[in-house]
Amino acid sequence: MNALTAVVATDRGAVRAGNEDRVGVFGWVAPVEQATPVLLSIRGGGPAVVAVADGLGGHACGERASRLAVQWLLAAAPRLDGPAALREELVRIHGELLRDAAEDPARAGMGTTLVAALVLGDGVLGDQVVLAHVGDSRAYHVEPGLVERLTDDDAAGGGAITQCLGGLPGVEVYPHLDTQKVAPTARLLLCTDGLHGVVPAPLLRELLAEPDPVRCVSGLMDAAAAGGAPDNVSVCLLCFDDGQPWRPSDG
Amino acid sequence: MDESNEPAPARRQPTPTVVQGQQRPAPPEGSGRQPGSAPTVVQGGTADAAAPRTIVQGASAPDGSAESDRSAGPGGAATIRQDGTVGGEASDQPVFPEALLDRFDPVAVRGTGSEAAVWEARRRDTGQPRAVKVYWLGQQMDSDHLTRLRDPRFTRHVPWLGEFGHVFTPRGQVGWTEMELLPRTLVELIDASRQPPGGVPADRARELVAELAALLRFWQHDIELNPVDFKPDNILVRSERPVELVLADFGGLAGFTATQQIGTGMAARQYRPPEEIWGEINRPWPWWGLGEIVFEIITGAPRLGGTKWAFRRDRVLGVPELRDATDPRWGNLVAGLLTRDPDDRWGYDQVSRWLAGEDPPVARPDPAADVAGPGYDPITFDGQTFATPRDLAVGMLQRWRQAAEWLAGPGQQRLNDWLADDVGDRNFDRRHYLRGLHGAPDAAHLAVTAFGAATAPDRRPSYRGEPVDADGLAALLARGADGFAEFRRLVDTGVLQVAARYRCGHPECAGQQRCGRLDAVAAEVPDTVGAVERAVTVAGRQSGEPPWGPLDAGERDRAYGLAGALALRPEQGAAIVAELGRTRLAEPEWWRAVRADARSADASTAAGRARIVAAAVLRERSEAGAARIRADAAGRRMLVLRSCGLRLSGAAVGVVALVFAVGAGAWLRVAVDAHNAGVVRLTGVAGQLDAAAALQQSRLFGALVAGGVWLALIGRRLTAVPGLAVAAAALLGVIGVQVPAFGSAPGAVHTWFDQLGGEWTGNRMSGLPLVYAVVALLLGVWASRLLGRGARVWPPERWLDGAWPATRIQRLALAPVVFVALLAALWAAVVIRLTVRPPSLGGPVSAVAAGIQSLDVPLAAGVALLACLVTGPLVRRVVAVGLLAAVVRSLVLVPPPWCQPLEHPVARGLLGAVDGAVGGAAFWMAVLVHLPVVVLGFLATVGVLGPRRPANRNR
Repeated sequence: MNALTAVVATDRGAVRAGNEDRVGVFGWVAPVEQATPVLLSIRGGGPAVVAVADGLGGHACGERASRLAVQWLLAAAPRLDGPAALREELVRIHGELLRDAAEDPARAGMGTTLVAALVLGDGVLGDQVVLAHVGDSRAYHVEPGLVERLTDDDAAGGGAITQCLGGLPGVEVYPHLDTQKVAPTARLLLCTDGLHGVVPAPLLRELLAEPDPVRCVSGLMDAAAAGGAPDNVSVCLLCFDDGQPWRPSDG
Repeated sequence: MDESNEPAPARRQPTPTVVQGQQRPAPPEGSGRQPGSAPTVVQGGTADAAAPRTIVQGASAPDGSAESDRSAGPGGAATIRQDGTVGGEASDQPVFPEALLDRFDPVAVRGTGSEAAVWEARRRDTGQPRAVKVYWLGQQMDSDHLTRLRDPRFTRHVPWLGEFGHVFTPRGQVGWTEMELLPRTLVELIDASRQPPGGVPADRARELVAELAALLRFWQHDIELNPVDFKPDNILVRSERPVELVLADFGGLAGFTATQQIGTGMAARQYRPPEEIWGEINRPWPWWGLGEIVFEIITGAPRLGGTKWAFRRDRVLGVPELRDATDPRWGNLVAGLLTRDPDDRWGYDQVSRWLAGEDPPVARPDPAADVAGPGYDPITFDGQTFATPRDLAVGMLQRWRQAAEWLAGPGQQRLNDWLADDVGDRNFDRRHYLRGLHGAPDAAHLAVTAFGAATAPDRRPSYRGEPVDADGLAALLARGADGFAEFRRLVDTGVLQVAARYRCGHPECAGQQRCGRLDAVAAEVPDTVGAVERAVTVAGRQSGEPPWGPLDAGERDRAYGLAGALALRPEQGAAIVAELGRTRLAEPEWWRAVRADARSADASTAAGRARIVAAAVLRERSEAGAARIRADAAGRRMLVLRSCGLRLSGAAVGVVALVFAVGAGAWLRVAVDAHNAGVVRLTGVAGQLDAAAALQQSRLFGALVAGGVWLALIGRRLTAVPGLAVAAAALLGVIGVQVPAFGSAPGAVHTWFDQLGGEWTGNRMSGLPLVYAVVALLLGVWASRLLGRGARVWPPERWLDGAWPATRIQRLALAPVVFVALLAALWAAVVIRLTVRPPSLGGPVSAVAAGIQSLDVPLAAGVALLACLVTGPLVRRVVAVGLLAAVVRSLVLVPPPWCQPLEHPVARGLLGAVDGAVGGAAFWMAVLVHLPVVVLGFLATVGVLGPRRPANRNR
């Protein structure tokens, strides 16, 4: 079995005072500032979760919401055995965030977007990955010769999103779930709008064609910075081939 | 959940009771409510599943601080419903503000929405029921908006609004509104007015449409607000007859003259117009929703359901489905309201004219618009531009080689983007077929075929330029080995399942979206190949040879090919079975079983076809097994013995048949002659009959023996010959052919024939030869089967292995069996010897024979006793050696005269009686029955016959 590898980077950008994004992979939550890509790898054993979240509701609240959502989702990983469990968990996190916000008027409206990938171990769904997202954080399928966007933003344009985890009370959340078959050479890119809202799609494709995953993530972060980095930017590149650079024969 | 255990804030704590409200008089008389109806009804709100509110990211905080303030957008999606359901489990529990408790007595929460919770309450001062909307913390209440709606002129289509204002709670300031409590929604009214299974009767429906149109016009022109979430849940019923409807949702409103962006999730998906897709919020917006409602009214069911894509697709591509609107006028109304272009959509004027009996024009899609183009940029492939996915698919199928190269290169991304972003195609499974194409030619070719299936299914399916419909596959399989290999590739790469999506034209596939024949082949072939693999494993175990490998590439191709050919055309099964060949001596035993299984298989069933294919694939291995048998010394010995056994058995059967045929012929001739001579009682001439038969048999002895041997040699190759031979023999008996002396039987045989006749005459044992003949026939058949089947049933392996006899009882049971067998062998040997070389001793032959045979009784008893004293494989050896020794002794060694005292008197008497009874038939009994049985028994006993076993197995 190949190792599952994630290359992670998150940065507050050039404009924002803080970083309301949060990235978590395989039980590890990245620090607030992790502009240099970090590579983590696991091999076998149970479901694995990676998640990227973009907090909202003001700096303190946004940071808290994205951190809590990622922490809670990673902690729930052992019991996530399929799409239904992942959906349930996200709905539960939504409720927990609402309750957390209700404890302090200053946290009113605290919420977060989230895109997550649940990689299921053998015996559950085989080589399948369950994607879930709420809000406008995105997932892309990446393979040699192809970059395909997998998620539709919960957005109405103009920077407005139509649902998130937490947020205002009285609103239910309906996470989007999608089960993907993943080839060994395929990769999944999870990112916040700090990347896909800044880096044009053609450039994004060009950067994602980089065979080496670490250099790929570095390139993405550099491109976001070159675009002015008006927002926090977070990237997680999930590889199913030990994180090895693509070879010309990979197909 | 490191932070989830923090204590929840205390609720219902004392709080400053600051109320900012405006007093308003009670609802006026004649406002439309039915007297006495209000107290019994409920009104609530709940969050619409598809109606989250807009949240703006990155907006600056009001104080201008650097921290971003993600505040709620204007006008949350207050989708008011009347069912009183409470929001989802994640929603916070609403709390009725304590500051309002002095005015209202809360009864129950009737619902929660995105902007507020709605309570059923009673005014403490008047006791009247009210709906009290309490906004969520953070949700702004638009006081100006509410003040405007309180205008008495609006009462006809707006719920009565009482006090409203803000109160402080422990969590902060929240807004509240006192509203008229109304009983039912339009959903319930439609449901109550329906005539299941249809919709609302036309008159009532017309009344509802008129009221709804008036409601919309009132809001748009009098109130100058555009209800963008216009759906039955938000329309409350103030009066049923005459119908009076009011609009209860104030959240989803946009200024009538303004165009403003709202979240796509605000309005209920089903009632949103196409312009929602491009974000145009203007006057016709709710009129589309009215079209959906009218459809629901006249049919009793919503027009659309399903995923958001289904709705979007309908809005972009779909033509309103009007099949259920059987009345053309109602169809026109729906079509006018559901016109995709907002500029052409019906509004109040057209609906009013329709209600007045006119037929306003409905803007139909301009056919020329479709001719002009699909509305998205074309795509270029191989230097040619294609306007539609279908055109591109046809071009790719025609230039399949270039198409595959294109998809394995830049075309993968280009086609993916074009279909996803420009065309919005939902037919082609891009995630399945447009992935993993880089450097994968097979996958690229499959993508070409799959793209054609999705967008040009009326074309003939092809893969790599070759047709892959049912006829195409049949032609491919008719090519033999290379066709089989190609077919296997088609199956393994999933081409058949893709090709099945093309329209095939088969009668049995009519009405289906797929070709049932191809689907059946695709499903059956892997199962059949699996059955072949299992058959190989089983046959390998039975072969006794070193472990067999799995199917090699050639065998696997053949398995795929034959499985496909039979699945497509089961009638080919008979031809394949015929090619399996006939039974031969030199062939492995497992192959006989496999072939017999295939011959008995029913090719009209999948299981039967699998058995046939397994045999056909294993045939080559059987050839190799036969070659090994011929090359192996033990195998050759077995072949010789089998051949001899078969020939011997066949000859015996043949001779017996011919002899009796001749005899029967002779009888017939004599009987006819007697009849002609006037002899009536045939019993009197029995002796003559027998004598005639014996004479004729004797004369024809040589011919009969030769004929029997010949029959045995030709075996079953000419099945008609044995019957003809028997008929000819009977004819010879009838006509009494005289044969030359050299063809007659030897003198001794001639004598026995005479004796045979003599013994038959009036003898109680005269039927014995006939019985023996039948027994011989049965034994011959049995021996043939035994030898032909490889002695699968006898002798038992336990005997050959020495595992039987194992117990004392079994050994004791063995003794009499061995004794009788030895006696039979000895008896036959003596008879044959005395026939060939008549004894020089005096007395009848039977007496001499009995004397010699009685000498062997002690020998047989001794061997039998020894056999039951030893154990294991030694038992078999003792019996074999004893049997051989006794037969050799009887055939070769003549007991000297001094042995006569050793003759057992009782045994001699018994044997003499038997010999006397049998008489001349003894020779034939010995030759035709006893001797073959003894020989076979001996061979089986020493282990020459019997199942082939692994060489390392102990014998």
